[in-house]
Amino acid sequence: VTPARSPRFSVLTTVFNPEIEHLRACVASVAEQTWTDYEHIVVDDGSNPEVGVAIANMSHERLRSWRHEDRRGIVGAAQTALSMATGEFVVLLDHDDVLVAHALERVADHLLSHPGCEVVYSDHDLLRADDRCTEPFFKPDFSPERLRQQNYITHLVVASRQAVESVGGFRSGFDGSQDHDLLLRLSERVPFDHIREVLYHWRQSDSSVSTSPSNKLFAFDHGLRAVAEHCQRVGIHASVEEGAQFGCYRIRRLTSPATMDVVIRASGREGRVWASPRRFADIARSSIAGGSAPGQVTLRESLDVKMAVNDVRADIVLFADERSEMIDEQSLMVMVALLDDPGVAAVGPMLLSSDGTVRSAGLTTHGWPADILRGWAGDHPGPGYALLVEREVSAVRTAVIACRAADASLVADAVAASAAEPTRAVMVDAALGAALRSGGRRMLWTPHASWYWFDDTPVRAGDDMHLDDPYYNPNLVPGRGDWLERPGLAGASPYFVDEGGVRRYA
Amino acid sequence: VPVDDVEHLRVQMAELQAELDIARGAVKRAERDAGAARAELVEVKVQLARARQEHEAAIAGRRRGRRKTS
Repeated sequence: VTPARSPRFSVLTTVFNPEIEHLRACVASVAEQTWTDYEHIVVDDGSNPEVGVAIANMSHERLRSWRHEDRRGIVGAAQTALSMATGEFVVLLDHDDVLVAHALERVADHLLSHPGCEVVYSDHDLLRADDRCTEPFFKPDFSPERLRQQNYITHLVVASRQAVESVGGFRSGFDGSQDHDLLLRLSERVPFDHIREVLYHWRQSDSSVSTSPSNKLFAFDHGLRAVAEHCQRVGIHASVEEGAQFGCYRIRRLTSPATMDVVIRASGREGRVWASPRRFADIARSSIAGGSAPGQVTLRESLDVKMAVNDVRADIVLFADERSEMIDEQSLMVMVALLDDPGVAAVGPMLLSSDGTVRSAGLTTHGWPADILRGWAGDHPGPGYALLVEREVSAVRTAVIACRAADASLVADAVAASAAEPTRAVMVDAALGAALRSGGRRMLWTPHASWYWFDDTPVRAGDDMHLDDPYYNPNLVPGRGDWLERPGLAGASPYFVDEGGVRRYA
Repeated sequence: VPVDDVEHLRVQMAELQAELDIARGAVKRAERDAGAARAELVEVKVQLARARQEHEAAIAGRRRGRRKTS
């Protein structure tokens, strides 16, 4: 879809016995849009009669409403709303949520300046009961691996109506996870664009998943099926399980047979390693042989990793720092399985320090390279569950990294350079990530493969690279990997100053 | 005990090894406890940085109008 002129939006909202005040705020936020070429379609899914009266009283010239006499469920109502839409793009808006006043204008600008864009999403925050906004979720750009395991996109979503209809619209049987199911099917067809700005306020309420996951347990059962069917459609051989948190899914991939060379850069120095490299080799062999992929692991220890790589004969090469120790015996299988996808260039695991805190959960290159969530508890779910799901990253540490044999030489260069100047290793690793991704391939980080990395080298300050990181967010403070928002963007402030200049606390 | 009593030395060795394992386990547990405390500190520091930033932003009047009144 290439909007040759101003795009027309159909905002779709379905309701069932909503809080009238919340619905009123929702409708008002659409009516106040600075972009005026839209229709707001509200489908009442068999609510009590007073809701119909309230909707009638909210009417404005661009609002079109419809009422189901009998309840058809979330999906049935969404299907009705979609069938009523006449705009080129549909905008999904929950009945108790609120659009930022310039949301549609911002999306229209994006669509006009990005011809061919069919799906776009924005950042969102939460709307508290006291009507103040809090906890902004600044999202990564399109991250298909993460989307499989978590609907990180949620709101705001704008999609071309043609695209939505061509993938079958909202599907029955996926109530509660119908949006995730739709996004997965759309993602199989087109990449998504991301507007790095909060355009949507998601209301925190007692019945909302955002505050009470147990209220919508059924949604996650449907979500499991949506993810499993998506995996089948895109050729991922895997079983799908519930993740460690509601709304997260664990995809256990079955690998094709693969051989692996493990290259350990061995300096011969006394390292602080709990298990010897020999034991590591035994674990590596047994974990590959004991898994679903009958493979073979060859261990190569050398001070000169570049030379060691010349002898590599396997499909996959895993580089491991001599000061590392594999924790989970499934780690190799998990990493090999992710490399089944030809679009994946390399995979890095969760690296923990000896005290159980995160040493690196991937690298961000926002501003300058930094280890993601370094120092956080190893069992913390992370902001936005970033420590629970496999996801795209700009780079991973070469302390432990798996790649294909074709890329081994490039990675070996980085491993050698990092070893030569440890304080610059983070820069080298970031540059390697950029090189591997330059052809359009992706780097993945997985929490389901875990290693200790006995390294406490401080990062040398002053290396300001100003790299953009599509998998972080420019609204976050550069040079940190902890999702700290830039000043003024963290949501509710401790107080606000009212019109009379009086300081008031929320 | 004769120094060439191999069996006795083996037993002694096993006992010492067990003691060493226990000591190593204790070190790991202590390190874990320290790690948990460090992690909490790191998280609190982020929260503190967030609160400070927002406080300063509010004072400077740089905050966008983010209080919904509708």
